[in-house]
Amino acid sequence: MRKSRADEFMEFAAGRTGHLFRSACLLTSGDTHLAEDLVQETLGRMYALWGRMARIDNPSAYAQTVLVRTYLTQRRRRSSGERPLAELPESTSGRGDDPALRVALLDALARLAPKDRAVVVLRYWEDRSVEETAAAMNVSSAAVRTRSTRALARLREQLGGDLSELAAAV
Amino acid sequence: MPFEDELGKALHNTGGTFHVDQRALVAGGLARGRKKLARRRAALVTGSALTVALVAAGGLYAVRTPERPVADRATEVAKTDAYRHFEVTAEQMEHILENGMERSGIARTSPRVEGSGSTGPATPAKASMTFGDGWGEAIVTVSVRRVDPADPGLRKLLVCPPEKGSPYEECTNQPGDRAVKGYTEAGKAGGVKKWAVTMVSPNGYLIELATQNVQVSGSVSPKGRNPRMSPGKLRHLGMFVDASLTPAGEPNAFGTVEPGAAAEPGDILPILKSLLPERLTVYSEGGTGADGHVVVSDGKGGMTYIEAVRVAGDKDFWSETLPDGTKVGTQRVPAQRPGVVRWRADALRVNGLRMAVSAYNAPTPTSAKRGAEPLITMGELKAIALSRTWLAAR
Repeated sequence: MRKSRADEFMEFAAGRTGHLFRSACLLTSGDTHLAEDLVQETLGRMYALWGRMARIDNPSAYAQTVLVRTYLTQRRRRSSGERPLAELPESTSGRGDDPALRVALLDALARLAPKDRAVVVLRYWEDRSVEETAAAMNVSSAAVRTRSTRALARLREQLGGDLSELAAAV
Repeated sequence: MPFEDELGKALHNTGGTFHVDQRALVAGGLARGRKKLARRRAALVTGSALTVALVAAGGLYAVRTPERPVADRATEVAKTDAYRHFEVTAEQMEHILENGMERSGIARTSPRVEGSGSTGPATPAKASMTFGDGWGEAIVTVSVRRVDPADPGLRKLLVCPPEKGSPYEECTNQPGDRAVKGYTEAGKAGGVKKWAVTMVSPNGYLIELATQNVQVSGSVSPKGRNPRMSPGKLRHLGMFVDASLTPAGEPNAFGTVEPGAAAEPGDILPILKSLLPERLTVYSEGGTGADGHVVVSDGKGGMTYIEAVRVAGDKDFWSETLPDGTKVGTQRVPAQRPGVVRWRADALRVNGLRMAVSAYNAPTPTSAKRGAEPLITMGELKAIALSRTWLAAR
């Protein structure tokens, strides 16, 4: 029996899309429109190389890597030439349904440099080691450590005691 | 708790609050992936030819490959000698059959598909699917070759033989096709039933479809049951095959899309996109089941809203009747805002399907004008409205 490429891919995508979207939301510090675009682009890239997926140990982790790389590429492109959008993306402050602390965390993430934010998401949301983070971002382990330390310092400065409150909230 | 741990927990609490329609994202990702693959394949084909040329020229240039093959356009109107061209790959034939069967509503377990392509009008392109239909094994085959629909020799293929001595139990004629039901050459003793439909498309194809209630080489006894694909369903499959091939002799993106896609709200938008002239860049798109629209831009400030709508009714609009009975009409009227015009082309087929394709020289029907005229010509609108691909739209 021949299971089509699309079937296999759909099975995979159905299981991973929710998590990818949540990661993308953190990477874009709550810009859900951009996050949706990122996830679709990531899934598109995964589909295009699905034929070679047999050689990749952990497609889920790989998808996460693709997401982060896609995000960083898009950030690079955006800074060189902003594309006009038909509608303005909602800003995080417009998310009235979110408790203030979550908004504070997303705002604090938004103030980090894109690469620093990627390090934070990979290290503390994805629970990846320094080495794994470095491999996903195509940078050295030392660079990940530097960025990690810097990002944590900035987050601590901005969030301070709020964070323990947010961590406790379920 | 160390700050890192708190951060991890806070991230999880925050990330967990984001929810999204996952199916829409997966469908979007799949569509993008297919585009990427198509581009890569196109680049492989054009790339190999171009590399030679570029190396010979002594330089290396960035090459933009077309997103879709040129023949995939309604603007390519069939010419008499177009019937000499036929080019379809085995994989494309397999996809057309799989996509067509997907719409047949017949349950298929363990389907196996085999296809063969063609590069000349005399060679038929074929595809067959063997599958379990819940009662046993069945096979559906499709064969396509190019013909001149005006060829009088085709008539005998479409007319039922005299009843006496006919191997078929039943045979029906309809304009443009013939369907038979009966036993195969093996005779009643074999118990193998074969139902077949032969069609001639005005686009210049002879399409033959058949189904049997047992795999030809199989050992399963057919037990006298009937094939699940009725001649009506075979006809519908034939229509899908017809809609998947352009008048120019090549398959289009609508039929050859990778099978197994998630259900889309409707086919109008994908078909409209597959029929747009290649020079137009789609800026945004949208649609519900029964209509679809795109906004195209020329990159210099000009924007055009193009919409395709399935319309009910036969209100007089027509200026021309084509040989196959299809009526066509066009209209140029002012729209709401000053300077905005609406160009519209409608086509009404003999089966009652009416498509209306309109273009405005503005990004929406009610916004201010962006450009002196729509970026698409009336001729191109007419070609889109007339495409046979609409016949297969859900």
